[in-house]
Amino acid sequence: MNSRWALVGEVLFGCLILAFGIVALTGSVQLGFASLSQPRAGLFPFFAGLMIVIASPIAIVNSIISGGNESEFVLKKDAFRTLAGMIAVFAGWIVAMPTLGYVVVTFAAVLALAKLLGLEGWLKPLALSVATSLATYVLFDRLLYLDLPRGLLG
Amino acid sequence: MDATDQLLQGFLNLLTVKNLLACFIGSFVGTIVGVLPGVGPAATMTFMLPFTVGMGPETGLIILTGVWFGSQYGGSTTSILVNIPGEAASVISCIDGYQMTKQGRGGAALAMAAIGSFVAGTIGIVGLQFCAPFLGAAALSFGPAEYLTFMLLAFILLLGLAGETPIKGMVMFGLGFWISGIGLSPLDGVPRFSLGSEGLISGIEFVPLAVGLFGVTEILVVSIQTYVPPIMAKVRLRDLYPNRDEARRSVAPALRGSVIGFFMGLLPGPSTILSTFLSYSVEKRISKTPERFGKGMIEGVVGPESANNSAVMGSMIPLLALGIPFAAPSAIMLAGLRMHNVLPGPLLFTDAPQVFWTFIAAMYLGNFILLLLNLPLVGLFARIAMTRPAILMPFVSIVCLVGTYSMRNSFFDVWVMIVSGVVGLLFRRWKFPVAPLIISVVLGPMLEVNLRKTLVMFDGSLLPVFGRPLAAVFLTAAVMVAGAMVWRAARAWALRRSA
Repeated sequence: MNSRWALVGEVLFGCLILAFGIVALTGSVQLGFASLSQPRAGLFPFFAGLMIVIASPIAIVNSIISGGNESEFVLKKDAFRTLAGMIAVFAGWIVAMPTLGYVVVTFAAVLALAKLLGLEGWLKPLALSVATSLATYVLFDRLLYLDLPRGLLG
Repeated sequence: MDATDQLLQGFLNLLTVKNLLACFIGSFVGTIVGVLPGVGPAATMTFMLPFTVGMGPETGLIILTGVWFGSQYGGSTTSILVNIPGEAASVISCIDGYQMTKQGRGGAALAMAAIGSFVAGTIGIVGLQFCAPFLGAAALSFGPAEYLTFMLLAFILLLGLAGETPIKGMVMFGLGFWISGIGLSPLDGVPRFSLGSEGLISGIEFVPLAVGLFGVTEILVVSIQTYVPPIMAKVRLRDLYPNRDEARRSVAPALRGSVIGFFMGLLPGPSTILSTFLSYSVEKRISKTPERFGKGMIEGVVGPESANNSAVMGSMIPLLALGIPFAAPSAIMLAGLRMHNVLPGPLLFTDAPQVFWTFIAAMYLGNFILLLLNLPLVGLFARIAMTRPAILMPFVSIVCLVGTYSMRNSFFDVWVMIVSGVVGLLFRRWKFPVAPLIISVVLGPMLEVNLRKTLVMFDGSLLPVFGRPLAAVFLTAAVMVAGAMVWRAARAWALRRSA
């Protein structure tokens, strides 16, 4: 992403936060904050929303004046693919867990993550998946009694 | 019981297999976290929070502090041997530490950094042991107005120390307070911003949010960065002996670093990091050969490494004595204590003294364990630092997922964690500091209760606050600091325009 698009992204992100602030502000007005001597549920979120609504436009203007912030990482096309893959694996872990159970889902998730992160060949990723899924199962379920879903193995 | 008896009782409480194991695990994991570039103490402490729930407050606190403390020890290893800081508070150690490695004195730098950290840690614990109960006793007179004004002062100081981004820090405080307000309001039980969702009615849980913002964000950032294998210098045990000159020159920087770190730890903000920069600049300023700094001066390693350890102990004081965390790791620790129904603050020393004194005893022991771990096992830790992200990150991901799920056996929490991780990535991309958000989420309910009580107490006006001496001092200081920040920003803006 070049610096111009990075700046556009930064401004859009700032606008999104501003929108959150406006939602917080209007939501708290609807909740009602009565009076300062008898404050109600809306007062505190109102102050929170006010902070966001005041500060985020200044942050946006600052970004525009300074031409955007340098970052420790750049979101390139490949990076988006990796990120989407990682998030899909996390989401899949949640969705498949009740049916397939912890060991099977964790095995598949670790294998997918290892391949996404560029671990070469199949032997190492498979070994890592078996070791991680079994070791964490023994640690969390058997030693720490966390009661993980059994699914297929139940 | 006087302090000595209570400390002895603390050592007796510590002598259980569970607590001793917790002390060792915390220190060991902390050191590993310290040597691994990218995985920070705050992230690891959040991973470990869910697993400490079943362990009791003392054990939980021992593990979490061990991780924080240990990471300060371990951070120096990669800084000195590879020129890559394992942890933000060890950045400064790269400058002279790596130069010493290039001159074949890396082992001595590691050894003196570990010994300096041990000295600083011990001084910090002694300071914590004496100051925290004293401050706690003083804070017994705090009412809602004092707490409210003190928190205001802390927040403004945090903004001032946020570096180049105080405005973004303010945005994050606002977001944090808003998030903390989701769910039932604390005094009247009115549902807020829950959108009719069952998951949101009880509010957003701290653990999924923190694991997402620290842990998942870290995983995502590492996954998109190109991995460059580091080239590590080999260190043998016999290389660790410093020569007489190096040992002699390390004594004063270790002591100065300890004092600087301890007092910096009392301030809001990233005190472990700031203390290292201050210590380095002090060492350079008072040195007879400042021109040799950056070329392998042991003072430039020992001073900062001592300071960051001592700062951890200093920053425990406001947390334990007032219940107010000044940095992200102490906010996580506060969340951990609350999970055990232990409320840090003035009453901790009277209501649950065993927690405090067992913790102090554990810190003495942990500090000693860390010294033992860091000297002979330096080669092992250095090798752990070489672990590829493709092997490490899948494991860390699973720990995040299981840890968050196991808090309430809730997949909703895991979704919250993932969303927080993605949003955290965007915060990181555009340099919105996450620490103010985490601190405000933890302190939000406390701030709200004290704000509402103060307003009711003073009939809607904050002016009567000036009738209470302590609150007046805090509020005046807050206004002065805020004024100074605005003046500084206006001056910088004017200078930029004239340039």
